[in-house]
Amino acid sequence: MSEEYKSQRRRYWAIFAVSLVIALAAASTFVAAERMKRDAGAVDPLIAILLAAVFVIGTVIANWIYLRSSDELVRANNYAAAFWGMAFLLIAYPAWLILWMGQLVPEPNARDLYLMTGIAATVGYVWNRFR
Amino acid sequence: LKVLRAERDWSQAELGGRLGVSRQAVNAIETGKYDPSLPLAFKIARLFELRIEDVFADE
Repeated sequence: MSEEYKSQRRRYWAIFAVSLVIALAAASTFVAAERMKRDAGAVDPLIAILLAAVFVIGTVIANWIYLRSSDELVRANNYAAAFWGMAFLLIAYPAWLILWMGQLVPEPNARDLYLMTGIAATVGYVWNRFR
Repeated sequence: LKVLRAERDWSQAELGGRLGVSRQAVNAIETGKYDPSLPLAFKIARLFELRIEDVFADE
């Protein structure tokens, strides 16, 4: 096995671990904020800026390195997952909006849509990865 | 690809290492779940000193 490949694998797992930590931190913050209070003011503004910056910068950098150090199969699976998420959002939001206009459901909620989009993307990834 | 690999007594991981892709990628190509990109297909053909059409058949 080539050194280049071994180093690529090491980098892959390091990025995976970092991404997992960021995802867990984001999920914990989200859940904590939900439990404390659903509305604005749940987190101190300075801490909010810090958390948002860590999340955005960390996620962008980790994803960039992850995709750079991944092989084309992993990239293809991730592109498919992104497509599933995007397709879900583009279909689900207008459908929800129309149903809301007909006073059949509550008003579309960004957080719920975000969560469901994430689930759709995950399902897309798992489907492509393990089918 | 599986036959060519077996002729050289390489594992999927070993072939992946030579190609710079994961064992999972080699497995997905061998089982027909994934079509490699043109650059990877050329790399595979070069590795086995064959032409692309000798490795991959048009189905």
